[in-house]
Amino acid sequence: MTVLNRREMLKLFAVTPTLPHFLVESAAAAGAPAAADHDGPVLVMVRFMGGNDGLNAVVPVHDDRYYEARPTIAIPKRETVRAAGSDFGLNPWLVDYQRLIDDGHAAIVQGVGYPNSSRSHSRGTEIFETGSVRSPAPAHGWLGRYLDHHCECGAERAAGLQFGAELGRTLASSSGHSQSVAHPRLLVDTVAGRGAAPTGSRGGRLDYLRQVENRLGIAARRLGQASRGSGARFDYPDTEFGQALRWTGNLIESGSPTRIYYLSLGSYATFTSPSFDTHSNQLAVHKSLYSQFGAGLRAFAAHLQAANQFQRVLLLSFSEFGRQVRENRSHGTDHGDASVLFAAGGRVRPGLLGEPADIGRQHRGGLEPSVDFRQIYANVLEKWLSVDSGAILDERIRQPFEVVL
Amino acid sequence: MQSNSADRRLTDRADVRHLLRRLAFGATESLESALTGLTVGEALDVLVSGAKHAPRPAPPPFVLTEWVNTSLLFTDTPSLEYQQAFAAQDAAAQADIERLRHWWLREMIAGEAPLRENLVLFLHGTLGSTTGSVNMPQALHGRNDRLRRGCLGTLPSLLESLVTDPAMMIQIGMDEYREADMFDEEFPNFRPGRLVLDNWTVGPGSYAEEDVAELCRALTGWALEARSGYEPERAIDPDGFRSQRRTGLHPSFEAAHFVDGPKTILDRRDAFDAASAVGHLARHPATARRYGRLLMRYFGVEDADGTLARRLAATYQDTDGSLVALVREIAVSDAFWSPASRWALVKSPVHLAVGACRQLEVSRPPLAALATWLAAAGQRLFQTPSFGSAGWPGQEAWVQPPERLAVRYELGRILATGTLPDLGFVESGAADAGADAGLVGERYRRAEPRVLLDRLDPAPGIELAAVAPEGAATDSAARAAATIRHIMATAEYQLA
Repeated sequence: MTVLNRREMLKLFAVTPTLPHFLVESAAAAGAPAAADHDGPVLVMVRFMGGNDGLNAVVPVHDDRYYEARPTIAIPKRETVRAAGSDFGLNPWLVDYQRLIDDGHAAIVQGVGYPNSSRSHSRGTEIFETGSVRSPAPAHGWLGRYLDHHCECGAERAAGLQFGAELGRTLASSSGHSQSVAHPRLLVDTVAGRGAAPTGSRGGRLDYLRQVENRLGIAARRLGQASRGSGARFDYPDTEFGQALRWTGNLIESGSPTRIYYLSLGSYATFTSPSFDTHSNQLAVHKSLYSQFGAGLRAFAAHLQAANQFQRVLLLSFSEFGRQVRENRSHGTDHGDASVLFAAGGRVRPGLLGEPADIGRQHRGGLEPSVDFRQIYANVLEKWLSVDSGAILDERIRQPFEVVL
Repeated sequence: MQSNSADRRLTDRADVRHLLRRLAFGATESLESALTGLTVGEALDVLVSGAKHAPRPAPPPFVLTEWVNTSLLFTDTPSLEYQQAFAAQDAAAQADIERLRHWWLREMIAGEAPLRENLVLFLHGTLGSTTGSVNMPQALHGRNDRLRRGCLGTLPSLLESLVTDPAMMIQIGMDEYREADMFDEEFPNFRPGRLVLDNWTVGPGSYAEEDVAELCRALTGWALEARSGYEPERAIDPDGFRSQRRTGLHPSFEAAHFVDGPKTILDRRDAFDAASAVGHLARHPATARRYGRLLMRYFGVEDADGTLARRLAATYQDTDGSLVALVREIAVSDAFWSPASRWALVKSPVHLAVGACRQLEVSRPPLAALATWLAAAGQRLFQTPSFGSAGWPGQEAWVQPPERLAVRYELGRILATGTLPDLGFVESGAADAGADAGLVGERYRRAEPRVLLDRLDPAPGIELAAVAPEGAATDSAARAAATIRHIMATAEYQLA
């Protein structure tokens, strides 16, 4: 059997545009492991589920109004970790992240939001995932649109890869360049070793299932290669987020052609499992989530530096809204507006970026934004993914906010 | 056009099996021999008789004690105390709900009424369920049993009874629903009416917004309370959420909060209350048409020219919405037996798991592993998708996202080894515990590959040579286990 590598296959399909879709699928599935791809930028999105509070991440330790507003959940100055070159302190559970900042590999942007922001989980999420405040929101996500029109993805089925049970809006696209994976080991064990199932002869549902099987086979073989990566040597937390990040590191190390990864931190799975929706018990929830995040990123950075891949990786967090300044009766905070955004990678502009939160400028108890999240998206599209942001976002953003230079 | 397959005689095995795959979770050895040689009409009599006469499963012990709200919010409850009480109550409830899943699975697998349980599953999916706001195993069990009794009667009477079903009242938001909620400036709430229209009766697109508001008025006035005479020891916080103030699960009607007077709902003006409004909607022609469509989809019937759809709508009206009559109409239709309908249904995860256990006569099904697997395969019992119209859409959607196909391919491992594959991201590193098909019934534990292929009844296309690959273990039990895993990990086995 003739074995084509991925580039050859793309070239072949480029000159035979009428080749039926199912043949593309099965040919790709039958091919040898795709040639390793170690060029090109990789973007890792991390969703902080639930609307994250910014004030207890970057703590205004010199502002008495903060301590007055949060008698039981404010973080005392002596407990914070100092952010280099700043009067602010970081949440003590972000200590690993602080080290990344000090190493020049990470940033926290303060005051991120958008005008008249929504305090609804679904609407806020939709706005951040589509990169648009239009209503109704676009059907596809901001990175889905990137994959559709501006990514040299070819027939690549996993140019966007979400770790999770369902594909969310961010990677939703018209071209089907994205998939979700919730059970990577199972996928490797079950379908990675299979040959391509024949398709197209009988049609109907059996044929459809075989096409699905073949498509899975591509992702499964990638994951199979990745599982031989060196991630096990690094100290990723033993949590869903930590292990999804380990798979991400291994995929990047093994040269997967995936361009965009999407991970979630925090969960709504049950009422009692923690998400960033800290209406109650905020300190304990942050301890769990920030320590996973910090330790995960530290392992991720060490892993990719050792694999010489860190320079082409950018990790960006988002959350649907921030929270109110004043604490509530349950030792938590309610839905608010502006918040912080985390950015890490080999080429980020390190440190605390943007204007510090101004507790004196509140709107309905929330914080006013000083950076529009779309300014950050524009910078990432232009400087990281090298595409015209005006073609993806609703309007040209005049002043992109630089998280990468 | 008088076309009817009631007199079709089930002499061809392929026909018996087609009928059983669709109606009864698949062809078991015993059902197959019982129905062979009968006409389709007689075969239906056998299945319906089983549905009517088989005992209903005894309630599990943990639903026999009355539900008590152990996380009421009193005016003097410190918030931390409330949170701890709620977390403890919810954790205990979710653990019992998981056991309730096992309880229902056991009945589907081992019970004598597969058609009945299949219809309960249909109604469960169509009407929807949540374990978030309805985190009371007693209420979920009560509704499950209500569907079990109701599926043999008429849909309108079942739906009418649901307006005072505690699980349903909480799920659709009827518990303490008042007219003031409807037009609340900050959170206008027409949820109960919309869900009754969309999920219970006529379906989206068959009503106007005024119908929603009028129906909502008819649904006011009900609340769930403790038995009369109950007095909480401390004062309940009147500003708490409903779940923080709910003292019991007994429906009580509060006339003072009911919007009395005539209402116009889908062209009829009447002094509707909750039950009569739902009854009216349940007898509407749009509801008749919708349930015909839903049942055809559920049973995997391709009705190209709409003949069957029209007959089902008429049967619904003639029988006041008898589900059994509708099933019979489907099974005797030409469409059901047409080539286009053969192997045209992607099995639901429940059908896959229950069918395999029944076919292989698994006497001690690994219920906990199966329940976990069902959730990964996209069909967690008592937890249906909550967005859009309720229920599982079925067919191709069962393998969306595509990864679910790989999850389905691992079912054979659970039956062959009793162990779960690694689900999620955190790997257990657990190896298969001895693969000797130990759970499989005596008849199949050491069976030849051709016997297993025949019994598991996948769509045509699997070669026997591929089933028993070269170098397969010589030990017959290990070979049987490998064969089961192989067959169940094919596209062919996914179809009914």
